[in-house]
Amino acid sequence: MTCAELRERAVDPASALQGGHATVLQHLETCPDCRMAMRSFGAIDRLFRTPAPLESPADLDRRARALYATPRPGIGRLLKSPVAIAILVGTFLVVALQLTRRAPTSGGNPPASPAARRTALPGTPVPAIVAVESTPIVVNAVPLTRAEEREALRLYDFDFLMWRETLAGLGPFFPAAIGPAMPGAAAGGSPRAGPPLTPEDTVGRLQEWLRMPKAQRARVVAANQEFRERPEAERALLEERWSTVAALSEDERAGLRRLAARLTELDAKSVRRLESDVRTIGLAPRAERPGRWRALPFAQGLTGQELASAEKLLLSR
Amino acid sequence: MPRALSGVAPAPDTGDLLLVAAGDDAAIQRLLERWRQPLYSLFERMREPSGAVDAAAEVLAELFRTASRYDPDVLFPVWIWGIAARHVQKAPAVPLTGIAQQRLRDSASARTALLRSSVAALPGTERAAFLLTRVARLPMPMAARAMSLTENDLKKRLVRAMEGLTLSLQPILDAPDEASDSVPAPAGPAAESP
Repeated sequence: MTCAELRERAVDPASALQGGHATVLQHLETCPDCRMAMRSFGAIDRLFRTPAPLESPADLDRRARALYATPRPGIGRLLKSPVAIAILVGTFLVVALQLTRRAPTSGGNPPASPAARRTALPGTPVPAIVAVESTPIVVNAVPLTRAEEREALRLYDFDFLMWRETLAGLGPFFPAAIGPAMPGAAAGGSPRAGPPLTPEDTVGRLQEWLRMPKAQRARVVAANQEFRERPEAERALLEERWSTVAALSEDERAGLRRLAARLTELDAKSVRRLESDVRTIGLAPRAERPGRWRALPFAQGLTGQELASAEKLLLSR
Repeated sequence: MPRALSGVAPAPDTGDLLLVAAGDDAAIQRLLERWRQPLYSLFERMREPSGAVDAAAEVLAELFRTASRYDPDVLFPVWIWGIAARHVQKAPAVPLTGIAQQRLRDSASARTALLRSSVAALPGTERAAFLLTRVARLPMPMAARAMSLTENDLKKRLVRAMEGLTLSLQPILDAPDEASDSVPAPAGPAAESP
């Protein structure tokens, strides 16, 4: 019996009526992870056993009846709303504008529209996708010059550049002895940290550059220059760390920023000790790592978000 | 109460929902009285009480609105818990709330907040799998039908949910149990037989 089979059996109360308990017991005798999991599952069941009483049933009844009585808007009602009409007209205008800016199709190689000619690099076909998920399309901005496009497309990822100092400060959480480089990190720049490679990323980058105020562009260019001047080994290290951090949520990254700030308050001896502790935790089974991490003296003064963010790093290997 | 052509009376919930479809207000009240607590208990495990009231009210309102589409061949608990499961799943996962260890030791309300946050932090399907089986106490086959999953898929998601909760509830899992007269959570009125 595998660990997965045992756990799937354990979560089904009806399994108590099945036979085959001997294999279950045999597995538990030899698998400390599953013994711990069974204890945890049982404790979780006990925690959630007792329901809280509904304090105001009349309030719930009233709410349910009110929601039931509220008619859902059909299309007819929507079309009577001035706001809905304004939104529909506005949407129609935007779509019409987009259609008139597209190149007309006329067999063979159709001539590119002025907008497409300005944003296409020499020898680069105009990308078919002109909107990338949440990246808004700037319709009325002054198009980028060729020099601006070349500048935008040679820069490292903007988020990565803004994070480079924090990544450098998180050293104790990336001790060298833990695991090899993250899979997918290419030599000479991981896909996440480096300049855009795909047509979709290229369009997204150019749109982002178009929207960016000039002062911020100058900061990004300076950050990129500073990063490129670092030793190659250091650059590779930071890009590797980014391939882990970039996958975290906004909240988790915010926790890591604060964690990095806390690390600057430690003396060298404490940093070395923390790095050693983190290295040891990284060698433990994954299920044990959160508990060991939270037991460290350094972890005692941290907020919940800082604890959770570091835990995510420790579990990412 | 309407009777099927076979002459067998439909079970109370099924019968009342059919009456709701016919505009019977008393049937609405009976369904409210039987199902408000079980639905509230489900949502109270992932939201504050006022949020749980709102969510339970939305499920009940949807139950009444869709009464005319109810197929009496479907078990009523599968129907209503299916609506509840969809509401549970559509809520986006919320980052886990950090609560200091000392506060967890000292405050029951802090521990309750951690329980809710842990459940709310689960991905939608895992969250629904956990709540339907561990809070609403549905048998696996019924919970699987309510969520339109196979039983194997449901078990896999439930295991992931339990493993996720093991991590997020670590600060309180090892604490001694609070003295409580543990009363099993009601799964609602006894499951009807068709």
